[in-house]
Amino acid sequence: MSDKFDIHIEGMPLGVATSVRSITFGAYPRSLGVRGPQKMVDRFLKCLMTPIGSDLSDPEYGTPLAAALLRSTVPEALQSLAVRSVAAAEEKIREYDSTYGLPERERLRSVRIDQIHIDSEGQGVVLELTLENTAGEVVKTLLPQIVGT
Amino acid sequence: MAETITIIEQDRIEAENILEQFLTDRMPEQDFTKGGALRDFVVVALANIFAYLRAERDLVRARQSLLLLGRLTGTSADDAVDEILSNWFIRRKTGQVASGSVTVTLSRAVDVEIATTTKFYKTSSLLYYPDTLENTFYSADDLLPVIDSSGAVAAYTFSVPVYASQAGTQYNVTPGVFADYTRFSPYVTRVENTADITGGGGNETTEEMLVRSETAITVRDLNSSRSIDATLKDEFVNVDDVIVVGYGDTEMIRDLIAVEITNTRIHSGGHVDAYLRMPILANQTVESIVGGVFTDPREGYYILRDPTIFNEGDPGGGIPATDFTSFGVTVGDILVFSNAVENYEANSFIIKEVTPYGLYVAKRTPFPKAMPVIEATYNDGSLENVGALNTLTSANNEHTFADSYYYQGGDKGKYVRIVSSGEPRYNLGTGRIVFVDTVLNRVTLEGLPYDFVLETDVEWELLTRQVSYTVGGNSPTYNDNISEGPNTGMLGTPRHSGEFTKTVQYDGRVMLPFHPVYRITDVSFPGGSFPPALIDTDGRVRFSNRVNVEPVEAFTASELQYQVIGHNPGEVPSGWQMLELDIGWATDKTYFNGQTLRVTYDTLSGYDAVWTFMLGTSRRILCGSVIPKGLHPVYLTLDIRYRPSKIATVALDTTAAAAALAVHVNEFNVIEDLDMSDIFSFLRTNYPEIGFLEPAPIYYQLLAPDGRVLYFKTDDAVTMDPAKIIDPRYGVLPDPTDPTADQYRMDVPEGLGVSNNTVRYLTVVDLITFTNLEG
Repeated sequence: MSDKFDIHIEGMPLGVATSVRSITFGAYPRSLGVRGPQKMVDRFLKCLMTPIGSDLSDPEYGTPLAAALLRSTVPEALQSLAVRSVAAAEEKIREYDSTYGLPERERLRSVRIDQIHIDSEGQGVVLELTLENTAGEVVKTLLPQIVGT
Repeated sequence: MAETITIIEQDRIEAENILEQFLTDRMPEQDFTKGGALRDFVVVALANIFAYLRAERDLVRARQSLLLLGRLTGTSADDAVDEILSNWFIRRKTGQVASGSVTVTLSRAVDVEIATTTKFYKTSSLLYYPDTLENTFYSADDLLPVIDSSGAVAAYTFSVPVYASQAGTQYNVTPGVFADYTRFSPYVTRVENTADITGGGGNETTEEMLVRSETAITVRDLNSSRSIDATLKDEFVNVDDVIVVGYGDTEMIRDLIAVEITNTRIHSGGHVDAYLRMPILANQTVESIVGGVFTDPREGYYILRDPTIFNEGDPGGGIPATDFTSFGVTVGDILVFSNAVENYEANSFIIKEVTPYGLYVAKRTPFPKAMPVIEATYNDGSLENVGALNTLTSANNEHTFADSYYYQGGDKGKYVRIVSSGEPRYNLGTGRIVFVDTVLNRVTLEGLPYDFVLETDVEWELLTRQVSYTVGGNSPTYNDNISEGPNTGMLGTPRHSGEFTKTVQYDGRVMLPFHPVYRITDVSFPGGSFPPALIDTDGRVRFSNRVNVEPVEAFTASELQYQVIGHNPGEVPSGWQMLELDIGWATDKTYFNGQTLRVTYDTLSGYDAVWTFMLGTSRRILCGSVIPKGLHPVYLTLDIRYRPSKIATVALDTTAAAAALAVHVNEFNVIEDLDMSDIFSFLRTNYPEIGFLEPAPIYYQLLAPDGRVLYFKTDDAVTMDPAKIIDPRYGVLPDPTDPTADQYRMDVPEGLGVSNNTVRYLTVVDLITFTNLEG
């Protein structure tokens, strides 16, 4: 499959993102098309921040992270949840990648959590991740603090 | 119509796949795969709408197809089926109404009239009406006394057939007291149903309607099996099933023409019997005068009567008592209709039967019409024999005789019939006007059998057409038995007092109603002055033994017999049946004449309406004879011998089990053969109190269309196999060398229109017994 483009999404800026509104098209004059590693990052980000069960065509798509931010969750539990959610999103994206046979540069090989910061007061989380595609390229990304509302 | 469109997951997945494929084809540079944002915005969002539209499209398509609608459920599917089938004028059948009877208890023996509008409330919401067409009168003499333990009469009861005010299974009720009723007598103390009220059913289901529609979409005439089935089921909620027998079917005997010389029987075709399966309507009653006159419901006048032949005689001995058996007429003699219209009416008829009250000719070659033809009836006749001539004067000038021949507008040549007279032995008869005296307004009559005795105020009729006839075996004049003249001396010239009729009359007999008569449960009349030994405990003379031969004289009440005689088996049971019930003793046929005999019987609920419909002028088949008939009833007698289960905690309720078993047999699938294993299986399934069932034969009785009861016994399937017929006296096959066993034989069931197709297996609680082998 040739490297087709998807529409670009990204995490909302710090202080704006909430648990129900965490993804944006970005502050660009018009929507952007993305290919390659950025497209892979976008897909991962969307899966991570989608409440599990909200996709009617695939109820297993998404993670518990966004839903957890809606509730009062103790910091220790939130950290554990974030780790499990990253692993779940990685598994789901790799499942999709194998189904569709995406180009190597868009296929996820692994995700590594570099840093997790839990805001004990605002019930938020900041994730610093390293994503590697099957072509061996590495992309670092920072998910800004998302505040539950 | 409110409609709910349901999108299932599969619909949405298919919609997403279609949209993904479509968009990928149109925009190959864009990625619509799962997990991407584009897919969410374009594919997933639209898929729901797309899936909705597809589901709606499928629903609309399904609603246009009866095949697909049959797989749907709910009110909307029912409505859609109604709408589609209404294009073929097929309507959903409303449910059947339950029917049965209620027993009314009175504190006094009084006359009671039950209006058709009388209401019986089982509960406040379950209403029943009398199942009668007219208000019904119950005489105090007919009430059944209820005897208490001291032997005194405690109350009186009578039964009223009822039907539910609406269709529905909720109207099927078990025995019990009615909550309320219209006050039709101040002496009513209780109204109850002592047996189940049954037959109620709900509206036709969509599944049933679709099955029916397969045959309903056909010509709506009564001219094929499909159309008869469709028409009757569509018109009548009571018709559960229809079995059509027509030309070429072995059970068709109504189209047979017998060639008597060779004993050959030829099927003429043109006849169709529609055997109906309808709910049983129990305990109907009819009252008739024993030995009375009954009119054949069929077309055609095939009986010659003559009031001057049936003569009770002169007490003084001048005129002997005579009837049609007094003149030596035998079967095969010829009746000559002397004034038949030449080249238009037959003038010779073979005598088929000689009875005291009339001569019967072949039903297939009847007389031309009912005769005589009466111009007018008067009541001022003055009879006198003047100069050896019989004369009649219209004393009050109710009629003015004209002295010219009838073809000139006068009265000469016409006939006068004396209808009623105080001197019937002399003054009854029909005479020809040969002379008119206009001054005295008197006519002279010829051809009367006896000289008038002076009498006034006699009812008389002026005839424009009389029946002049002779009877004899002497070719070619055929007049050596009956002709003009006094009974003591026939003159050989035609007798003018004949009547062409279809009124039948037999001593000792009554005619049963002209619709299917199934089980007869009571035959009785008030005891009156009959010997006490013949009177039952309730004061009635009761005939409780149905036999296949002419009843013999009885000396005790328990010996009284009755026989049912089917004159036309091909038309039994139907609205044309000539089914007589004979209680007259062979040695004294007139012994019970004049009594008002009450016969209680079961019939088919709603049959009369079907009969009227099928033979009505607007629906009948013009080129054939298509009639509804009841299936021939076969009643099973079941003796269930059992041992209780060792683990049962309660005893078997044999009353309830018998009632349930009766329902099971009566509703048994007619396509399958009923056998003891079916009965055992039913009992084992529903009554765990039963531990062991002893194998036993099934005894069953066919109420044959010729009026006989034929007895069967089987160890396997219940069928009309002649090899299963038994002589009930010995319990074995009737001995063909024993003439007294002929009454129990039916070597060829189809010869009576009987086969496994045309019978209906029934039973009632009274015919089921449970015997506990452990005592």
